[in-house]
Amino acid sequence: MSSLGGLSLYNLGFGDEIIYFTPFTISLFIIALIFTIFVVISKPGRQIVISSGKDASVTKDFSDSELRFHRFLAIGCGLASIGAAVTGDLFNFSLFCALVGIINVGTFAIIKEQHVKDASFQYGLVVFAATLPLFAGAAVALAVSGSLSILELSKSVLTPVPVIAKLLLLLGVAGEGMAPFYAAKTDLFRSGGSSYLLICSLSSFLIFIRAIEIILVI
Amino acid sequence: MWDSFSLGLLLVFFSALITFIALIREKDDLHKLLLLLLLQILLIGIIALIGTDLAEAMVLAVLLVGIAEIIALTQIFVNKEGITCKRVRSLDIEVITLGKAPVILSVLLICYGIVLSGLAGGIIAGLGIVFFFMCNGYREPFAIIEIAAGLSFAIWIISFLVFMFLPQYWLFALMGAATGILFQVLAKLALAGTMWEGYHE
Amino acid sequence: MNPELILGLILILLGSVGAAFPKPDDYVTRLINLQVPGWGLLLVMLSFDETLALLSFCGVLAFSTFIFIRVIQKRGETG
Repeated sequence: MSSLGGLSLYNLGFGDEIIYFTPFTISLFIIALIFTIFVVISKPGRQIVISSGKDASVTKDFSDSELRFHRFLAIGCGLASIGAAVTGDLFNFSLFCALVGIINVGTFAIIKEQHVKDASFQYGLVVFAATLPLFAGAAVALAVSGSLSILELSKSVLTPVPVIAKLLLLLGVAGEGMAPFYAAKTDLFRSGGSSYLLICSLSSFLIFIRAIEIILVI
Repeated sequence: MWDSFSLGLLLVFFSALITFIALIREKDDLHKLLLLLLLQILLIGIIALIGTDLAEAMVLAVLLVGIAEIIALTQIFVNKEGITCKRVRSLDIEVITLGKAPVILSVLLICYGIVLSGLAGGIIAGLGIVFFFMCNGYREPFAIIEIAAGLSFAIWIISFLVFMFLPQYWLFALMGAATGILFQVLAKLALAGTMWEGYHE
Repeated sequence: MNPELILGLILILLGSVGAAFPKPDDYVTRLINLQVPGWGLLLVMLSFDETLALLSFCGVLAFSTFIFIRVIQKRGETG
């Protein structure tokens, strides 16, 4: 294990999938877990729209089932980012990133306003197009070095992973983690489910950091 | 140096480049979705070129991700364009709507699929049911099919747990997994066959 | 390099050119042209003996074609 993530503390073998805990992945795991618990216990807010020019304001209400589904998706996103933070397998990391992307698209698409729907469709196109470089990076790494386990790849006894595979992986993760841009563009951080939307930014942040660690280690 | 993987990878990446260029130049949303389906095919091509058993397992997972994204994006597209309820007619071909041929073919396909069992059997039997629904229309209650699919999924998961923790009962687990995936795939494909008529009762 | 692999790769290349720039630029032409790289991919999988992946890909391709035909029908126009 190279010294980037610290010494490997504990390896949890699950079949041939090895989940490993270094100080780095443990801290990511704890952050994701804390914010998932925040999502579980937090209550939704209310959006107040002030109409300009007049002395009036409108409170937008969200229906109960809508907010429940919003919370369900946010918990799913938290669990997916936990998985992406601790997994020790390159292909599983790609799968968790794709899962984060799909769930974020679903989180946007709940809101019933037209510009949010348009933005969620555009974000969905980006996520779908980004699965190609993401999984192609993992596939090229497997084909060149013959293994997908990050532990094996970091020992540098195998053929090193080519730079093009790392670039493809980074491009894919960048496409999947575009959620905060679209959330800021459509002003979603002020909407009723904003306490659930926090996990959207956090998951992008987590998968970016984890991807950079993986790219530097392998 | 230029073995089959390198040459194939070069060709597939070149095709992906062409697709991305077409994607940039395209303005219509549904056209973009169709181009993304092409991108998914190319991605599965990259993984299939590795040609090992592990690559085969990866293909299955990537197919799952792709079909999930296609369903999600088409649903968002339909929502976005505001197309809600426009009746879709069933296949109106006179030869297959009248006559006994669809029934006989479907029964043959379903029997063969049940004999095969497993994923391939599920696909074949499901195709029989799809063909039957496409030709005859349907009046069946879907709650029963859904309950059967859920139960078979539970049987499948239980068989996997048996494989992991009680490996000495592998024969029971094998039978359970084969039956479970047969009914699961069959029920899902049967739902696909009913898409042709745009209303449920 | 067996013949299935070569034929499959050629079909993937030609089919993706055909699906990226279809001549009458409507949905159905693009959807029909999409089946050509699908067949190429099936040939590639056949040359590497990937039976399970081949069968699943058949199912998924048919399923997504269903979905897209239904969306195009709902949209109710070509173009």
